[in-house]
Amino acid sequence: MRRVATNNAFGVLLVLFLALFPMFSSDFRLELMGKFIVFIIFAIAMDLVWGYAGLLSLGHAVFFGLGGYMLAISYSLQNGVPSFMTRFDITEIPTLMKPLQSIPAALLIGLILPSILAGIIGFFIFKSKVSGVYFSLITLALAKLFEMLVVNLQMYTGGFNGLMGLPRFPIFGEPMSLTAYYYMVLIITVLVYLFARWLTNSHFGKILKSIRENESRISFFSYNASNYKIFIFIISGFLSGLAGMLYVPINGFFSPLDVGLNMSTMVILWLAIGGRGTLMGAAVGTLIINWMSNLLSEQYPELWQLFIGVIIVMVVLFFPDGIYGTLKNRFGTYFDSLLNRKIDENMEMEMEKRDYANNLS
Amino acid sequence: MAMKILETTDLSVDFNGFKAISELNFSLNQGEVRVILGPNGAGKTTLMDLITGKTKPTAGKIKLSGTDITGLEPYEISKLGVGRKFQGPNIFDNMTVFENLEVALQGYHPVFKALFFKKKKEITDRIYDILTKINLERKALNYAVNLSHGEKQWLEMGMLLAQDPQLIILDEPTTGMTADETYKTGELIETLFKGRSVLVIEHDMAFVRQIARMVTVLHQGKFLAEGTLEEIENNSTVQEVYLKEESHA
Repeated sequence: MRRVATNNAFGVLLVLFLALFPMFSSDFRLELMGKFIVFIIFAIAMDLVWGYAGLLSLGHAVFFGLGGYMLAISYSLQNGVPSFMTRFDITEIPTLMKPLQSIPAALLIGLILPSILAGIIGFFIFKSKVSGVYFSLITLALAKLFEMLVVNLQMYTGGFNGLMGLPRFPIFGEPMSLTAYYYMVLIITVLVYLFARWLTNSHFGKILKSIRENESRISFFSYNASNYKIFIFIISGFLSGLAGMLYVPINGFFSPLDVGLNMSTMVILWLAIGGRGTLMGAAVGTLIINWMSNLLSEQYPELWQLFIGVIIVMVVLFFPDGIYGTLKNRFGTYFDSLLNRKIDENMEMEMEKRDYANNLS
Repeated sequence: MAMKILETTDLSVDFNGFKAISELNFSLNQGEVRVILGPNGAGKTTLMDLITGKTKPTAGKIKLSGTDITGLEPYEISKLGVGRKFQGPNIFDNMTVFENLEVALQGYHPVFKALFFKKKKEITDRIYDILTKINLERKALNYAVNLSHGEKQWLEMGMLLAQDPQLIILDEPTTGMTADETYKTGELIETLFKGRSVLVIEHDMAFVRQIARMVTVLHQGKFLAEGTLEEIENNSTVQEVYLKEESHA
């Protein structure tokens, strides 16, 4: 109840601000904001896995990258065999890549493939009861592996240079305007947020939290924890793939940096700063860190990383629950006391009713 | 002959050569409250681990109401109606008291059932009913980590009530409780768990006297004696084992 109250007030204000943003910002800033909103989807996907189920995946960008590459390659194939392929004397589009010639098919593949990969990885990791730091290490290795794979398959992926000069927003054939794309991304993000909130508030979400809190205990209440972990991993892989795909047209560029360790650690950072296990913290952390990085790098091109580093260390040291998490805890106690008082009153009324009934009989 | 809810035949477990339980034949009747006694290292907790599936036996069989449950996973065994309270509170710290009881409810364990589970009024009522029984109704929305030690123990008992199992296994349920709380726990076992089969490990003799009709004594992983509490107290082998144990201590 309390969480719903604070989340709603804050969330509505945030969405209102983001919806009005195009009216007072330049195209350049709008593009950045659009990118950051896409990152929010990715951060929410990570929050489901790390914040709720307690699984610190160090390689989540694999799913983000897989989704992104499907769309990026599809864009590159639109005008026949792309130059990064002809350089290796490939004159025909390889059979495996033929489905990607159609953009709608690529959109579908970009959602399904990361989900399947997440399912396979999840199945092997969680069924064999790998957990804790070993889980993190395996995912770390996967991120590195995937990054190397993309770099080494240069003739199909553009290699280290990535895929450049991608067209802007031709999602439904005709190119969209920046503002229209911005609003589309915003709506999708709000829907993803609502879905994630429904998921985490459901009984399923509570079981996820109890897996995070005490995995061995929940299995003594008939719950098969590995099934729950595989399922949330698939959902998270799906949402990460979605984020990766939405990122491609607004960035116009996709490279191995977006699929490997770099991106994987960035998303962990956003969550840690915003506050994990709150969903809204994912949005807050993503927006704050990304805007700060951009604005500081414009002002202090040499020193900005130092500033960011100091700020991150400060937040982690003094607000271990993250920015949103700390705010929620502060204001939360106020709502808590209100609500608890109400429950007390309810209980007392209940007791009085029982006493009354007992006296009658 | 009463129905046997639990039966072990030649149950053994071997931890790298150390026989924690060896060839144990043990049985518990439907609706019986049984206390397991034994000095340190007698294999009491190991026996609980074996019954609930936390540890897999190296030999022998465990039957629950006639069904073979040997080697099943904990989640499968608890589905068949076995609930366990661990030694020391074992709860979900950063979740509210209410949520702790909610996740203990039986019957919503498949993933898709949990996703589309609607919290009906009966369920909320049932949880509030349990909260009243364990005296935590005023702390329903507090995080479990902020409860006192005794309250955490009670919460775990409440979680067992929510789980509603046929066989209840309590591993030293009164550790860290005051004499008064211990007595109340005994009452709780006698009233709330009435009709269910209960297996208790306990050292507090006043508590044992309060709840137990029958007592089983283990020693070094083996069956030592079984009988009423007076019989056990007057049993010479039991006395010998405990005296030896005390001279060590």
